[in-house]
Amino acid sequence: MTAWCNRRFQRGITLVETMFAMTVGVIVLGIFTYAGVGITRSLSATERYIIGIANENRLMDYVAADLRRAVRVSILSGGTSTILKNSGSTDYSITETTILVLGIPDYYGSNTPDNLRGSTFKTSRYPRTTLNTNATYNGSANPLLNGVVPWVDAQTVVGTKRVTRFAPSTAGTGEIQVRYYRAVRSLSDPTMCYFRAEYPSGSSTASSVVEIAERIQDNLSTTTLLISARNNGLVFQLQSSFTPTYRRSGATSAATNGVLEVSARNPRRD
Amino acid sequence: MKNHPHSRRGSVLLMTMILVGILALSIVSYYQNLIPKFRGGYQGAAWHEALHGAEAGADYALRQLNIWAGTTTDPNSYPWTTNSWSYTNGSYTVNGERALDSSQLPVLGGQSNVRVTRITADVYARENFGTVPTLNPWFRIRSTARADLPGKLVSSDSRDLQLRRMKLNAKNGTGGADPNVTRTVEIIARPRYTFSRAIVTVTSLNLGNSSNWRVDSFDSQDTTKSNTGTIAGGIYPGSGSAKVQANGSIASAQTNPVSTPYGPLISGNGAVVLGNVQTNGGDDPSTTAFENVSGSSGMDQTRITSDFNEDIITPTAPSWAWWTYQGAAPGVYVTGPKAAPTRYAIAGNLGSFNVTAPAAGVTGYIEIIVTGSLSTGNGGSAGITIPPNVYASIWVNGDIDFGNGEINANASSSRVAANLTVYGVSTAANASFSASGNATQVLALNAPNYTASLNGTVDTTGAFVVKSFSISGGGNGGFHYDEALGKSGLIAGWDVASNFEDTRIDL
Repeated sequence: MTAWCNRRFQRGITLVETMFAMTVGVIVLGIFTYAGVGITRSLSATERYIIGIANENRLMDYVAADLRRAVRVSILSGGTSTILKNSGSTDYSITETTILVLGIPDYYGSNTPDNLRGSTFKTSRYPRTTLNTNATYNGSANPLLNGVVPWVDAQTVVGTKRVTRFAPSTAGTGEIQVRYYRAVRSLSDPTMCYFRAEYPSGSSTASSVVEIAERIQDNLSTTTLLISARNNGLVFQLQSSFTPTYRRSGATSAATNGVLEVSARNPRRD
Repeated sequence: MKNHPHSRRGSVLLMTMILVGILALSIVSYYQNLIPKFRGGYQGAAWHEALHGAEAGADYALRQLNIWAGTTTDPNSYPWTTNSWSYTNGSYTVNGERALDSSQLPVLGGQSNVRVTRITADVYARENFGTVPTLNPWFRIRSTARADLPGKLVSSDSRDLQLRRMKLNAKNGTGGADPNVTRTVEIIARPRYTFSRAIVTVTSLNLGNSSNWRVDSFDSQDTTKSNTGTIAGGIYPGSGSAKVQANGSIASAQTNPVSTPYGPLISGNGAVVLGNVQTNGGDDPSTTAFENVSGSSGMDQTRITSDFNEDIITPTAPSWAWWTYQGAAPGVYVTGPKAAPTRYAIAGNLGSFNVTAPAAGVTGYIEIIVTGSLSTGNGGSAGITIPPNVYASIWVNGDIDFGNGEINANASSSRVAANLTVYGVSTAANASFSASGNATQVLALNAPNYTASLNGTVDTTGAFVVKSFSISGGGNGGFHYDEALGKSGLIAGWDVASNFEDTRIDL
């Protein structure tokens, strides 16, 4: 009995059984592989989607923060500058050749990046401690005129309104220029990105260029930035759209469309 | 031998567990990667809320200044201390920085617990121009607010950190985690003088329907923007002159009903307006047309906006402890020095009158309170004479009717609006201001409770603040704003000269 049993347990499997097992195994593995790939693609797409939304929000937030304090707004396209005040039904899409150009107050003591705490890069031209103690601002016989920014440096006239002049009258326009545009990251890295570049007053060389959104145009998605203006340039509408291309056919899915209304806080000077 | 089958079944279980474990780790890894990206949305929202907080703090301080402007004429004597503001450095108290007590700082609340953490105000500059500078201050207001962030030290993207400058590792006073984001806004507040525009109305504003009737501007204190006039200043150079300026702005505070928010609030009637045209709403933002103004063919369409939102303060007559004369209208009016102007308290009505000029080289000041109406009548002698070296202020408690007379406009007058300021202080529902025929009037009129009606070819130089304004006809008349009025005088409130978010400040 024992010998019979041993023989029975030691008996090999048949070819049919092997084939059947292999078929089932392949099917199971196939299912797992298919599911794994699908899940991976889905997870990747979800991640890209979230990155795309974050890109959208960051793009609009960067531009909105500068628009609020802008004193000039224009579109530079093909070497032609167009003041942006009432764009009607036209939405300007910011690209490599259509650049959003803002003039913002030259507020800081320096525009050369310096992360040192208390550096002039991080402080106003006229901090209270300087006004209190610096002899430049404390030489008047009239005490009311000590500890304040001299009138000629403090203001300028726009129309009939006197408005703040942030930089001394001898320091150029009192504005710095900020440009938003699309470009590849570098000659060796073709990743398409949006950039914010800052140009000191009177300079054509950027003092800082910051990449604010990456992978904005590749085979998986496209991110755009549009701007329009109304109310004589006091109100702007920013739109950023993220269009995924996740299908094998290359067809695009429905695009997201973030919209942000921005009210300019300063009188326009253009 | 019986264990062999069991052993083989065990390996299947093990393989299954390993597979499930790998899947679980993959999911955990995925979510660890993904959740911070989701959190980025929350952080972005908190960043926006912090800006709302900072702007609320700046608005709080600006509102405080505007309240004080309605109660105190001298901006150097605003009641800072009694409103919980104190100097941040006691050594600098003339133009130094004041901070609002922490107990008074606005708290916005909400899910991110938004609150203002600091508001300061100091004198940024003082108005120092003209022959007699006012030295009125321009205040600098800085406001910082914070919003709480989710309690994890993660961010989705370094670019977000660069933009939003979040303090993810911050600790509170007890050493507990206190991640937050702050934003700082700085505004410069400049004085808004009562006569900063040609015409401001509380309700309706109807312009002349003659094609020649126009609103424009000039500057009596600038020889390039006026013709030679008197020692008080230049006169309007005439509508064809290159000296004429395009800053004759008009504004109406009237609003449309909530149910029909878009529609005309100013009737232009085709009149030429060389200046800004502002209403309080009324323009449909979804269209390119300006629904807030009708008959706007004579206006620069790029200067029409719907953003007028200013408090219009009704003046009151001063309360005098002494006066030069009290009684019915006298025959002679003399002046005194600026520190001690003559004061006439007129019981009843006042008609046409002339102020006697002080000696040459002397500037005289006169103040008049009229308890009744000011009505100059009509005809050749109708009018008011204010010599070039005299500044007159008149408070009228009744109606004002300048007939067809010459108000500060005849050859003996200054012909400069700043030399004659008329305040309508009546609170009656039907208080009125009127002029007619070919009247010529040069003055600044502050009468927000008065219905102003002009009839004929009335020609006005100066500025009006009235309840409503309408002109029937117009002819070759017009309204010529003297820009000098917008540079000094009584402070009606405080405007934002600039607004700057300080995005580089040390955190």
